[in-house]
Amino acid sequence: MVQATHGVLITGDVVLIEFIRSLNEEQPPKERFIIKDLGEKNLFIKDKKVEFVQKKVAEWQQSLRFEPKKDQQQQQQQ
Amino acid sequence: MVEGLVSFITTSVRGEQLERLFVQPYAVVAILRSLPPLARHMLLRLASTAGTVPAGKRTLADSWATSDGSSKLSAALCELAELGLLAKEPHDGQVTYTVNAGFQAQLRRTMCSGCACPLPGHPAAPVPSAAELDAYARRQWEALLLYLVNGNGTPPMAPPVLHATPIDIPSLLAAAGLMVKDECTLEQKITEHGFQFLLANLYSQLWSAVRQYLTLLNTAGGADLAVAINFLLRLGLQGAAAAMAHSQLDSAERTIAAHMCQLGLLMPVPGANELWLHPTRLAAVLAGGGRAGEAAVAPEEGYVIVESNFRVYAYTTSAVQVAVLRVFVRCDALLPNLFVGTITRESATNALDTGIAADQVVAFLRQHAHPRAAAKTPTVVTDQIRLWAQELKRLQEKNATLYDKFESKELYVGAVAHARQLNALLYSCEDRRQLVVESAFHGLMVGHLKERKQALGL
Repeated sequence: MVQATHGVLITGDVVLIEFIRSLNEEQPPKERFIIKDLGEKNLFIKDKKVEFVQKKVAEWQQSLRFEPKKDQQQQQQQ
Repeated sequence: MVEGLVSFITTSVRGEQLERLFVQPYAVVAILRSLPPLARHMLLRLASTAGTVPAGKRTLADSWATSDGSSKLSAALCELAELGLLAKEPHDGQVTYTVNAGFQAQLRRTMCSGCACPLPGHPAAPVPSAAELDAYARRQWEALLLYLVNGNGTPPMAPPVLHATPIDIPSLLAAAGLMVKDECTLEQKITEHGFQFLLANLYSQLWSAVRQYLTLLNTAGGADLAVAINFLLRLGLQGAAAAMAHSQLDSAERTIAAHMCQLGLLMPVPGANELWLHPTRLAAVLAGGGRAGEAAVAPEEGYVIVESNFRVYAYTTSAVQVAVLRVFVRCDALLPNLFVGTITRESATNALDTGIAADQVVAFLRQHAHPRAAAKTPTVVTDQIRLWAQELKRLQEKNATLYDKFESKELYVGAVAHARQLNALLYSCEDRRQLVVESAFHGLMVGHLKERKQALGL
C-alpha cells in the first residue's frame, strides 16, 4: 500500500540543509523533526516544527554577521 | 500614454460606455492608429461604404482578398469584430458586416475636417514661466506622495478658481491598493504596493494614478469615462504643448480639467476675461509615454550620492524624497538641505521584507543619481543589496505530501507523470521510489493512484 505522509518540504542550499540536519541531531529524540531526508538540498519535516526551524536558521544567519557600530557601542559601555 | 489608454479601452470598457466612446473624435483617431495595418485598411474601406457589406463567399467582402490572403482578411475582420467596431449579423437573409454607426459617422467627420479643436489663440494673460509650471506641478504631486507616505496631512486640493468637486485622493489611493484603511484608528497606511509605487519612475506613477482614476469612473458609470478618455487622448495626441481655454470646454470636460489640475498635470492661470489651463511638465511626461516622455522633457536633477562605504548623501529639501530614502536607508543626520544615511543590512532587509525587489532599489539609486557623482553607483553596494535579497529567499518551504512504498515501478512512473501534469510535482527520486507533491493536490493523487492500482491489477 502506498504510504502518504503530510508535512513540509524544505529546499535550500547544501550548507543550510546540513545545518538543519545537525540541528535535528541536537534535539532530544522526542523533539526531532525530520521525517525523511531527501538528498542534499531537500528535507521533509513535520509541519508543526517549521516556525522553530525558521527561527533557528535566522538566529544562525544573524550570528554570522558583524555589525561594527553595535560592537563599538558595546566597547564604549564596557 | 496613448498605447496605455487604447489597451485600457480594449480591455476594460464595455457596452454602453464603449458606444459613448466611439463618438469621441480623439478616441476614434487613437483606436484607428493603434490597429494593425490590414485591419486599419479594412476599417477605412468599410467606413466609406453605406455601412453594411455582404459577407460570405463570392460577395464583395470576399473579392477583396486573393485566394492566399483570404485567411488574413478574415483574421483582420475578426479582430475588428472583437473590438466592437464590426458586427457580423444576418440581414435580409444574408450575412453582412455592419460597421458601428456612431464610429463610422465620427470617423468620416474626422477624416474630412481633421481633429480640429477650437484654436486657443494666444493667451492674453502672461504665460507662466517653466519654473512656475514646475513649481506648481511639483507642489501638487508631492502633496499626493507625502500623503501616501505619511497617511496623515492634507492630500492635494483642487484650485478653488475652477469650482468643481475635487477627486477624493484617499479613496483613490486606497482603491489602487497603495494604501489600506486601518479599522481601529480609521487612518490610512501605506502598503507593499505603495512602497513599490514610491520607488517607481515618474511616468509609471502618473500612469497608475490616471489609470486608477479612469477605473473609478468606469465603475461609477455615466458619461464621464468617455469624456475623460477623450480629454486625455487629446492631451496625448497634441503633445501637451498648447494651453487650453476653460470657457471652450463643456461641463463634463471642465470637471476632468479640474481633476487634472488637482493632480498637477494642468495649471490654471486666470487671465483678463478667460481662464487658461497650461499643461505642466507632468503632462508632457505622461503624453510622451515612458522613456520617450522622460527624455523629451528636461530630466529633473538627480540628488543622491552613494559611496562605496554604503554612505548615502542626498541634497534635497523635499520631505517626500527624504521619506522615500528612509524606506531602505538608515538616517544618520538630517540637515535643512542634506540627508545623510547609511545602507545597513537591517535597513535594506526591512525594505526587502516589505516586498520591494532589490532591482527596484538599485534602479531608484541609479535614476536619481546626482550629476556630479560617478556615472555608476558603486557595484559593491548594488551587489550587496542583491545578496541580501537572496539571503531572505535562502530557505523555502512548501506544504507537501510524501508518497512512499510504491508496489511497482509502473505505478511510480505513472504517479510522477500525473503529478507533473498537475504542475504539483516538488521532488521525485526514482531509486528510492519517493514522490513529493503539493498538499493541495493530495485528493487528486489518491484518486489517480486508486485508478492505476485497479488498472494494473495490484
